[in-house]
Amino acid sequence: MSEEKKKILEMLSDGKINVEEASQLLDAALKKEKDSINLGEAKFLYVNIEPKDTVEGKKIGKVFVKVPFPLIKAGFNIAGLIPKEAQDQINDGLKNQGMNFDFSDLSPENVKNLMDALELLSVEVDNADSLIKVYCK
Amino acid sequence: MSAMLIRGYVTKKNGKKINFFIPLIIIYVLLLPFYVISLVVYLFFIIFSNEFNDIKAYLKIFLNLPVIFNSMKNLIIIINNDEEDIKILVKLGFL
Repeated sequence: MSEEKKKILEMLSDGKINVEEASQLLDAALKKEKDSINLGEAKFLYVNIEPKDTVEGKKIGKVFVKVPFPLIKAGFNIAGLIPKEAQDQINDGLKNQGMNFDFSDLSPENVKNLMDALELLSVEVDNADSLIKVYCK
Repeated sequence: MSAMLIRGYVTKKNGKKINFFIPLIIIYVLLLPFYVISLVVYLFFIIFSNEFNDIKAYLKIFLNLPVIFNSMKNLIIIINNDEEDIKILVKLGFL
């Protein structure tokens, strides 16, 4: 918990502010926190696979992909233009693979929300063979 | 501004290096006649026909491809396997 939030809760417990004021102050603190992590600042999606095994001192199977955000957005937007029949086939194929995804959900508003959420994405998988990192910066 | 150059660096295990670049202007120029034709066909379908929705949708995707080219700049792909190291960069220019 941030210092600011603690201070607000202390003020509330001391009776210096009421519940409504505390709620307003907490909302403001949350907004400030969100701004400080620079929402909308991420520019690239990084996919990094670092193998753990080395052959002759060199890591084999290393992958580094840096994808610009506008490319992801353009991809989503173009995917939204796929005709209904083709979308149904893709949806069925994805469902058969266990992914319950509907292409018709790719509306401009959803794409925007998805991009906003993607900016905070950070996935790290550490297994016996490699370290996989997916993040945005 | 759209991406203008794809640079590739391939380093083989035996030390042999292959560096290449593809100026995307060639691809843009080659695609241009298809765009003009597609645009005319698309407009024809919009004005004169309410059918062929599939064709219209695919034409729309094709006409939106420049957006992909435009947003491809700064894409970096580096892959390393036991045979070779491959590095592909999409850039605005040589620098």
